[in-house]
Amino acid sequence: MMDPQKTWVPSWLALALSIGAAVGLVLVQKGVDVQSESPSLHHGPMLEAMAKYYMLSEQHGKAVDAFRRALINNPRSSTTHMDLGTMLLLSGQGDILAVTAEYAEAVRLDPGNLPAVNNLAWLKATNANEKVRDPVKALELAEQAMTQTDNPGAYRTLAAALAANGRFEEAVQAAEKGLAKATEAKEASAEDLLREMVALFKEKKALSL
Amino acid sequence: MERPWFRPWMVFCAMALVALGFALGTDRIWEDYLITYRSSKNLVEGNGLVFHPGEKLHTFTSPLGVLLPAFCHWVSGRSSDAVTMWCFRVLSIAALAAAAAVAFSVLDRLRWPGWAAGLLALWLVTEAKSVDFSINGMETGFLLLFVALTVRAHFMPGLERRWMHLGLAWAGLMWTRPDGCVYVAALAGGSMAFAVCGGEKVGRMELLRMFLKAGALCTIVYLPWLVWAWWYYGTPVPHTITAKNGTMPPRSVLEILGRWTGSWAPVKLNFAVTDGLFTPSGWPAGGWPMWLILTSRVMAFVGGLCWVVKSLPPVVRALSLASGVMLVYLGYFTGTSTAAWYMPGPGWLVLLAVAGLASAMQGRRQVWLAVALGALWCVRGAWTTVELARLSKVEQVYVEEGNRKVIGEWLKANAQPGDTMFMECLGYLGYYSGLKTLDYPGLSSREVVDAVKEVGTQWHALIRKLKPVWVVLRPYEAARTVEADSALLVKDYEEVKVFDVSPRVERMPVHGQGLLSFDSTFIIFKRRSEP
Repeated sequence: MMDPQKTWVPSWLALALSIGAAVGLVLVQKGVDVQSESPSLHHGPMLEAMAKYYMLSEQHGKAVDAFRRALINNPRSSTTHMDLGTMLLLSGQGDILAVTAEYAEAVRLDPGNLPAVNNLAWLKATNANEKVRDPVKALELAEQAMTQTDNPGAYRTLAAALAANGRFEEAVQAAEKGLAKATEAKEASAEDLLREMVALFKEKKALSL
Repeated sequence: MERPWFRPWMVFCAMALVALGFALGTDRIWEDYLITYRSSKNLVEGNGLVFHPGEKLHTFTSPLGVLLPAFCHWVSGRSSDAVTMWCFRVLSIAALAAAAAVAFSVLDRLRWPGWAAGLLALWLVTEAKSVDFSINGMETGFLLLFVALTVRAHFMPGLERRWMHLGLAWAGLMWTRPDGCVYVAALAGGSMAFAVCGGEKVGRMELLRMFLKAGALCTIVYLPWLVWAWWYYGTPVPHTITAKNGTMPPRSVLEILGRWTGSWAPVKLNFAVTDGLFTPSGWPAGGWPMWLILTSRVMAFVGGLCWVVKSLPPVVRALSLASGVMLVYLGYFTGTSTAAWYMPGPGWLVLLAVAGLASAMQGRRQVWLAVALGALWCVRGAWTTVELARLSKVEQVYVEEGNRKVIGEWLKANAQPGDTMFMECLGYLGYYSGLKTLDYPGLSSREVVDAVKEVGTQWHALIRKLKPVWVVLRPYEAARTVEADSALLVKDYEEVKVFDVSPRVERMPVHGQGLLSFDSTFIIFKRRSEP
């Protein structure tokens, strides 16, 4: 048997835990009343999922609100900035400067985010707004994207950027390559657009949307 | 004057006090309790022990977990769900407190040093998840009692008719959970491996004879339930197990071991079992400090592996091996996390083994280190218990009562009799809506289990197959479903309401926010009328 003199262990244990339980109860009650100044970052994934659901179900306005909330929680998410930019564009809630700013932030946070690089390059190559249009930067971004992919969309953006810089012959070549890729991938809408771009660039005209 | 009952009694009181404080502070009701309770209530109301009246389906896992709430509901005059819950809590807290007292008394009788037994008592009393799951409607308090009684029957010196104690404890485990047999095997295996019984070395044949007698007694005590369940439901296997197995990929032995050890080269690193052993439920969702997770890992490794140390007493090695076996068993169910209510039993075995390891330091110069580390573990446990209580309170108020219960009641008010509902979180929604539930993976539904066999586990395919009137999804579930089948939730269904308490809970200064986030938002879809 244990030394009976050592009964102090459980006796003090009971006393300490009684006090502990009482203190704990007070702390527990406080837990539901107090609000901190900033939201917990651990809600980020749920908020992003909500926004993604709205985006995929084509509720663009709600998606904008949800992505904005997700960004408060996790401002360093490149994908969320990119998706917000796209939703601003599709919902008509933001002007083109706001859309460009979101794409630019997405690229700054993750230069490897190819869809964001491509979208930003496209806007800078094709948009009529002088504050957005930047053919040199567009070509730089488009070439950067081409180092990692050769899908029809990347060729389309490269062709637009080359045309914006006045390099029409190269633009036609890039658009024709993209057209071949789109035909191979059976992407009908991309085919139509690239066909129109080939015709336009052969007339030495750049895109201006 | 020596009072051998005094110290275990004090441990009983301390454990009961902490659990009662936790229950009063949080009023926590775990989702799964409500799945089981719907059957308990149906039984008392004369509809049979079923989830859906008229459908004989074994939709609960624990016989005690369904019968005791039914008893509580009946004995309290069917007055209210809250009274039933508190009645069940009192029984469960008593079981938990008795478990701690029994575990402590075994160490006491094994003549482990007083400081080691005291530390063990403190570790058990501050084991947050054991406290949580013993007051939230789960069967954990009873499971821990029967684990402690099994440990007592194996290792406590001077026990008369040991086989009888063992047989009854084993039967208790089986009545508590069907996988109680794994605890039986793990502890008997530990005892057999080191040929130890009652704190002394014994012959293995003698042990085997005792196990056979105990096994026979266990069978006699458990058999009535098995026979009745077989007769009543047509199968002795709970439908909950059938449903979960239907969605579980086959796993190799190496993978299972890897999930426990985390360092086996042939498999992907995964420390989910060890990291979750002494970490609050929902920890993988985020919000708990890394030191909490890492210390859980260390404790689990020490307890689960110290049986390899030859110089340790055989009882300690047997307990350690049993806890190691239980960790491997948990590994079978583990993806990135394991259901939290599986953890307290193996957790207690680990703590018992580590207390034994610490007691082996008695008389050495480094004993102070064992005491200091043990004291630190107590502080860790106390902190975790308080923080978990705070999280639980917020979760209960805002997420459970403030969202999932509200959704259930909204569905009850807006659905037609006979409507069906597809969702994953069956407890609150199923209980408060009263609807015919087609839950994933089919815990309450034969139709879902059959559909999984036919179309697989993709939810969009299941929804198309089952055509439920209502679909309740978390945001990530909705996004995943729309991504896989863009027309389903847009053309065949319409979004009718969003229940979102995330703006309220995301600013709560509590640890474990990831758990709150997980169930803070739900989207309700209703099937469009056929043209």
